[in-house]
Amino acid sequence: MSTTHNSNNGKQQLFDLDTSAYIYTATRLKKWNQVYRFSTILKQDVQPEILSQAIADLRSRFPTFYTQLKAGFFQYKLRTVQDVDILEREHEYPCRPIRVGSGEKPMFRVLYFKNRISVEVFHLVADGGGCIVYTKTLLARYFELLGFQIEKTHGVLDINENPKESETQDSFRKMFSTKEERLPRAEDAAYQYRPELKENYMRVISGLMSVDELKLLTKAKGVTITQYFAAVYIYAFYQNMLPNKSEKPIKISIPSDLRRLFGSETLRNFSLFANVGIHPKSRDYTFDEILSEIAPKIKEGLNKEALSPIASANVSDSNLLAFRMAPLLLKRLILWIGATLYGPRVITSAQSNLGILTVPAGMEDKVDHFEMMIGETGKNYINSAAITYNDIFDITFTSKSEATDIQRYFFTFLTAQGIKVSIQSNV
Amino acid sequence: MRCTFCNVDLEDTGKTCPLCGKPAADEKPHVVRIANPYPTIEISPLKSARKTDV
Repeated sequence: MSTTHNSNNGKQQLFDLDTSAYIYTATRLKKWNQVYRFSTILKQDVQPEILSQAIADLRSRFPTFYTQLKAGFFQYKLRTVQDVDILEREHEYPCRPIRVGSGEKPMFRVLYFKNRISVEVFHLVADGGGCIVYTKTLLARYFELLGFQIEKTHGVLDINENPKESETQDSFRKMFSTKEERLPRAEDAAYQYRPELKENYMRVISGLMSVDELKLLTKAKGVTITQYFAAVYIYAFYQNMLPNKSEKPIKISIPSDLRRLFGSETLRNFSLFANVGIHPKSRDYTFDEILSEIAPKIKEGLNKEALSPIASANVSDSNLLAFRMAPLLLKRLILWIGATLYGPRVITSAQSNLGILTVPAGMEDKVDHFEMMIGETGKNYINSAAITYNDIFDITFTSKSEATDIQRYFFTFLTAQGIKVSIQSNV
Repeated sequence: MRCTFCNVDLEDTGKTCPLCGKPAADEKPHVVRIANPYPTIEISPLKSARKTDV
């Protein structure tokens, strides 16, 4: 990171992009970029003027969030911006593209509608782990402005402190060797679920369940909730293949937050993923057979030993002299080719589980639950994301199609196991 | 409200099940959840792909 001035003086700062952020510069289009949404459903309606003030109050504490992309000849930088007027009343489908590369507004927005606050972020800025810290701190400030006392615990940062270097660092570079590691990147193309698309559309379907009920179910199978839900998701695609029985494997991408594994406090990107799946042509599968096959793959794919070499290889690749010396246009082309070959093409869908969220005692009675959703990812027409708070497990599917075969199969499978499911949707 | 075909709880204001499209049944949900409504989106037929803005 190169800092031109102390953020508390309100002068502009410059940050290098983190190692995984570059891919989002390469894959963005004029009318699309990779945006996700993290929502808080409150027990009372939102007061927008207070929320707007809270957004402004967080600017100096979260300098890497309040940034725009600046293009140089060889590389991109993030430059801090001043405009904090980013609160909107929700009026469109979720996760619409965010302006990147110009203007004084940052590369994220905050939306409100009745009792929901949503933070939508261009993935270049931060991953879900970073966004959660921002959102919790935003909520804490919002409630403080309403007159409540909120402790700075459970991931809530003190906005009166200066940002720490550990929060703005590229943890990939900090924690992984730059020794050249060559890893094979090639991966089979995956089955692509292809229902009829609807232009300018996003269908959101959330299923809310009791995490205690889920734990009973998954414990009986000897697996985690993440493993179980990945298997249900794969099974849903398996039972609803379009076209029938594709030659290609059904693969789900499961992201993993590296902060817990490697002890990082970064608020930027620090996650990797494992792609797991089955080959439907190889045999006929029951659900339990899918679960038995992929549960160990998930466990092996998301441990430290599996992820360290991948992270090291990513850092090494970005350090290659030829890549570093290449003009930005060429860098973008190389990354675009990489993303085309090894990105959405090699997975059927993504399923992110952000785990269990906790908040300080002063906020517990004000928040009903949290919700995460992944914006459209080009080739993958449907994606899902889950999060748990206070016994409420929320899994949200986002789709560019009006078709609901996968979502219906997924949730009715769970109800058939005795899980009580509440469905909420935007259409 | 509930969907008796999918065996899921629906929102109080739900007229049809988002999963199967069938009419919602006026039955008490198994679990009462707080409402999480969305705005009605109206896309003008003249509107092309969404522009990037904040």
